Amino acid sequence: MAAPAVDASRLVEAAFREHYEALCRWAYLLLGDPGLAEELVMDVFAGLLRNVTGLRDPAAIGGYLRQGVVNRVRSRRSGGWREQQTLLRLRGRRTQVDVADPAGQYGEEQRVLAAVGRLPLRQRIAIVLRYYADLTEPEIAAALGCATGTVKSQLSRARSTLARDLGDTA
Amino acid sequence: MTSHLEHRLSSALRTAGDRPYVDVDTAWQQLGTDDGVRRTSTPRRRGPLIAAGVAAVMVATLALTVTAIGTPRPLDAALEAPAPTPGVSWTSFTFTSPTVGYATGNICPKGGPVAGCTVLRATHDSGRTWTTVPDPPGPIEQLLGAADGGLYAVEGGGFVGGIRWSGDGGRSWAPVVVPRSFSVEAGPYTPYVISGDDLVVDAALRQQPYGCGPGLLRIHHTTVQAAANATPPSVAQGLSAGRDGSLWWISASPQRACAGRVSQSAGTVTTWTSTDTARTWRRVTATPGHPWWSQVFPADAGTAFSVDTVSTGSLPAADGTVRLAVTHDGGRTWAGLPVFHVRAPPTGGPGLRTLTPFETPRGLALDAHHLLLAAGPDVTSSTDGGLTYRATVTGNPDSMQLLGGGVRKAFAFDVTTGRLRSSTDGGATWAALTTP
Repeated sequence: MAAPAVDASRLVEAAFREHYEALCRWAYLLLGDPGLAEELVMDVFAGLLRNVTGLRDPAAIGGYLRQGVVNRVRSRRSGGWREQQTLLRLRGRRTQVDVADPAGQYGEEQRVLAAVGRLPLRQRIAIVLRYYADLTEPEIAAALGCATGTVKSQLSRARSTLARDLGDTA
Repeated sequence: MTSHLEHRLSSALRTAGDRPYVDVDTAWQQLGTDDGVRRTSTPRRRGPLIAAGVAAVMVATLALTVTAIGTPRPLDAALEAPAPTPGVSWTSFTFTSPTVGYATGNICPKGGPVAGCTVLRATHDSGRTWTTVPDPPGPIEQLLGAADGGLYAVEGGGFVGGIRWSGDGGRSWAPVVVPRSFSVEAGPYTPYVISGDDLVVDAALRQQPYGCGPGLLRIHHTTVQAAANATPPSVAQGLSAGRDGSLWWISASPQRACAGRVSQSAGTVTTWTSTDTARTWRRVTATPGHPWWSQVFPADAGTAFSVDTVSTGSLPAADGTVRLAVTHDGGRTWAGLPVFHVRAPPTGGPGLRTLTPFETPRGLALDAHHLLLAAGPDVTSSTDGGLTYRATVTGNPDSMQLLGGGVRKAFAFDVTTGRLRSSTDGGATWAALTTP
């Protein structure tokens, strides 16, 4: 039997207050734009509002929201393929100019983020969910809609790539 | 066991991820009254669905009527918005979020900002309606909204400006005490930028003779810190900030003169960046033999656009030519973008403006793909990272100010007509908002 509607409304508000900020922050790490991240997460909650009466297990609401954000990030990225290709073409015809960084002071944060940003999308999502959102591998698998073993392999490949890119042999 | 790599990942992601300001209360209110600000892929079709979802739940639970929740308006419904308030000359707008913004203006018929002539208004619905904020401080030249919702006001009315900060939406203001060794000037040509919660000011270091030497200040609410030790060691101008809080700084050598009076002769132009609110700087590019003036329009994640005024001398050139360059690696390498032309301003007329580093930025990068330029009479936008452009707003010559925002909500202000405009599609189309 469906829960009383008033409980559903309170459930959504409680979920919003519990999850909204965290979802915005890791959506930002995946998209690189805080405004866009907020819009995307708002879209997910708007979807929850539409479907809340069909939500059977309130305890699963966190997983539902995470999966919603991941799905929207993935659909957005695939939709932006042409834009990505445009950027790749641009980078291909870049003219090198004088690069002055004698002290090698390129910020650690910027360097790591750039390396994460070069990962394939599924690997990037797995890395952000693991090392920013502190999700377990089964939770990441649920968000990505794949098996836990797949998450393990994605994380392993991502770590290998990052270790190579960042020169991390420790 | 956590490896060294995992520690680096966790540390960098937490530092970056914790930076953006998120206002949960405002967002929750916004979810119930969404009017198109927060839509992603298909705005025209998604809006009604969102509103219908909101309505369904609200009706079921709170017994509100559907009409009380509100029906989404068409994106261009505001095109017939009423004209600006007569008698008010609006001087500065700022938005602290896609919905919350502030405007200040002068209600006296003549002259610049004067004490007693200042009006301050606020909007909490993306500029649809405005309310008056009582008792603004003295004459305000410029308002700047911080990521934490705070407001910085640069007071004018004289050559030397004061700075005030408000943490409650402009209802009360606290003075920011600037050390006497610094010279903070009011006016549109002094670089004031927001980096996260902080205001960063290119304030000349007061020496003899007047105003020589860089004097960067970092202001957090009312706490002032001189960033002199971190300031790039040359005449440094052209300060700009990205949406991610990164700072970009153009400096020139040799150090020849005072702030505002630097020689335009060729020297070495150096680009510096900072990702920690001006605490430390990284020298990323040094190009010898160039005149020094330039502006950088930062996007996110290491991408920025720079206007080339070396060959054109202005933005745009007299024949409408615009030359831009782009970097995708934090300024280390730059690529020339295809040259394009905008509607040429009348020769020698007001549309032809020489771009100086002191000037309010004439470009706005919404992200790596979307770039807006207030060049000539129009706002010109690119949605493909600078490969192609189209004119989107026909304004008055040289009167459009790009106020900021993101792809889903950008704002521009026509100084001449007093009209505020917004775009929800990366600058492709613009609608007039209800001006306060």
